Amino acid sequence: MTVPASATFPLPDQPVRQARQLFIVANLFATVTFAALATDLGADRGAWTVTGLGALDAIGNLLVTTWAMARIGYRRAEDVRAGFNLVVLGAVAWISHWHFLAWLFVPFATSLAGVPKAPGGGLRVAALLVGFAALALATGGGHTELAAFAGLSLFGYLVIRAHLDFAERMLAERDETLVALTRAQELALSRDRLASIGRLAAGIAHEINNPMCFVTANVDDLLTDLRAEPALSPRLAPYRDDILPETQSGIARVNSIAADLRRFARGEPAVLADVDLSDEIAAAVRIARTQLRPRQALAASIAPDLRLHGLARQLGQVTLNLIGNALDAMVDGGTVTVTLARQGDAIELVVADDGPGMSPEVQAHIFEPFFTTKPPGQGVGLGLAVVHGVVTAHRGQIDVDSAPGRGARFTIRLPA
Amino acid sequence: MSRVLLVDDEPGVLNALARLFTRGGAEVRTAPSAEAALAILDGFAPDVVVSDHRMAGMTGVELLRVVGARFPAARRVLLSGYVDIDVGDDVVLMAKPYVAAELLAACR
Ligand SMILES: Nc1ncnc2c1ncn2[C@@H]1O[C@H](COP(=O)(O)OP(=O)(O)OP(=O)(O)O)[C@@H](O)[C@H]1O
Ligand SMILES: [Mg+2]
Repeated sequence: MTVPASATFPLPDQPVRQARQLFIVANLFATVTFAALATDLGADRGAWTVTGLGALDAIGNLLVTTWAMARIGYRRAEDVRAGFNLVVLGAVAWISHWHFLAWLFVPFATSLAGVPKAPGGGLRVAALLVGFAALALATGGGHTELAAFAGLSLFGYLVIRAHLDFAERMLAERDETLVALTRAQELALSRDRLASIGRLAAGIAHEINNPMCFVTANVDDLLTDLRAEPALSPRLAPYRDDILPETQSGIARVNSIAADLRRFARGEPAVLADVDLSDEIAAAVRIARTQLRPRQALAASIAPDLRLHGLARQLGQVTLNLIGNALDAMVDGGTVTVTLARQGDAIELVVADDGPGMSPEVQAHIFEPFFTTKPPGQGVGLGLAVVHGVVTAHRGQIDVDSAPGRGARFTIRLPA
Repeated sequence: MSRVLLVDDEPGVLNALARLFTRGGAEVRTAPSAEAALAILDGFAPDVVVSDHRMAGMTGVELLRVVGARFPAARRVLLSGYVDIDVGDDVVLMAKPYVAAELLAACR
């Protein structure tokens, strides 16, 4: 009944892959820009130095993208890249006397630095911009160009951030949808499983009940007749005294299993009647009190006069089964709390304990007939199957909230 | 409870029922199907009809509906291992395996 808590779908190495793809495009752009800048400058105004710096920049960025990223992690590699680009591209700008094409590297470098969604992206962009601005002011870059390209860089960064935010929201929504779908699917699966087990159980119960009907009657009649016999032969007396009574209790056990299976399968022949649920639950609590073991307590808070149309005896059995399970679980003592209250249109019955609780694996199967964690002879595994069948027959619903070491809480909602 | 008609397609059940009611002093007729029961009813006005539900052919609920129309005073008991249907007004519903004392009480 539980869904794995985190059904998220990580995108492995996504930022690294993205950085590599961007690097290829960026390198193309940079090479073209460097070539144009060098041509425009001419050999006497530092074309070769600029070309050399361009090559250095390409190699540096290649090293950052491949070697450093694997070595020092994605975020620190981007920090290194930002610093490296600031120095090399700053040098290019200075040597070219802040040539128009050199200015292009400012928005270029900052937008690369702003791509990662990891924390620190904004700081890196800010540091780069401040660095370029300081360099420009110190080495004679034009104020107009500085304002224009800084503005362009900032704008580029904000556009990128908006896109990344959008993508992230889409991914989060996808995750949420997938988690909801998984949960719905698991619920449907467990409902389907219970429904098909229910059909099987109904068939078995029916086939057992028919012969058990006359087996029970015949053995009962035989015992009655033997008891009416004034002088029974020594051969037959043990049948009257031991064998048939023992046979009867065996028959009673079979009949009670068949009846429980039938309740689980919602096939018990019974007529709905007006039920005072408050009375029924109070009676079940009174019976359960007689079964308390040392250091066990049973607290009940039952709202009066809660009525519904249903099966009185079965609803009592539901309560007894739930309390019985709680008492069985609390081997070291504890408190069971039974609460019956109106909740809007429905009546809510809660049976909670502070026992050892259940693992998700156990919870996934508790409503199946014959599922038990108790040693043979101590539990048949029909208690909660009956609870489920009776609650469903009343068009109600049951929820379990439990974790190992945190007790168990069964909540039943019945339409009034 | 003098004239009782018992209907069940399981001979073992029919025999046990017949024994129970005969010992109770009733005049008992048995039928292995609803159709056979209807034939008996042509010459037998019952005070009580006890019928199984699931039988080949006509079901117990259908039979008891006919009985209710023809003999409004007759007490009608549906004895069933498994039903998920409406049994109709004035029909007593009893689960199988029945408890003899409860069944007799329902027919009184
Ligand atoms: N309150 C609870 N605390 C811890 N485990 C529980 C609790 N209630 C039920 N369980 C677990 O669910 C299992 C199934 O319970 P269920 O009542 O169906 O069968 P059972 O108690 O084992 O046998 P039966 O009720 O037929 O005697 C139990 O064996 C137990 O492992
Ligand atoms: Mg139990």
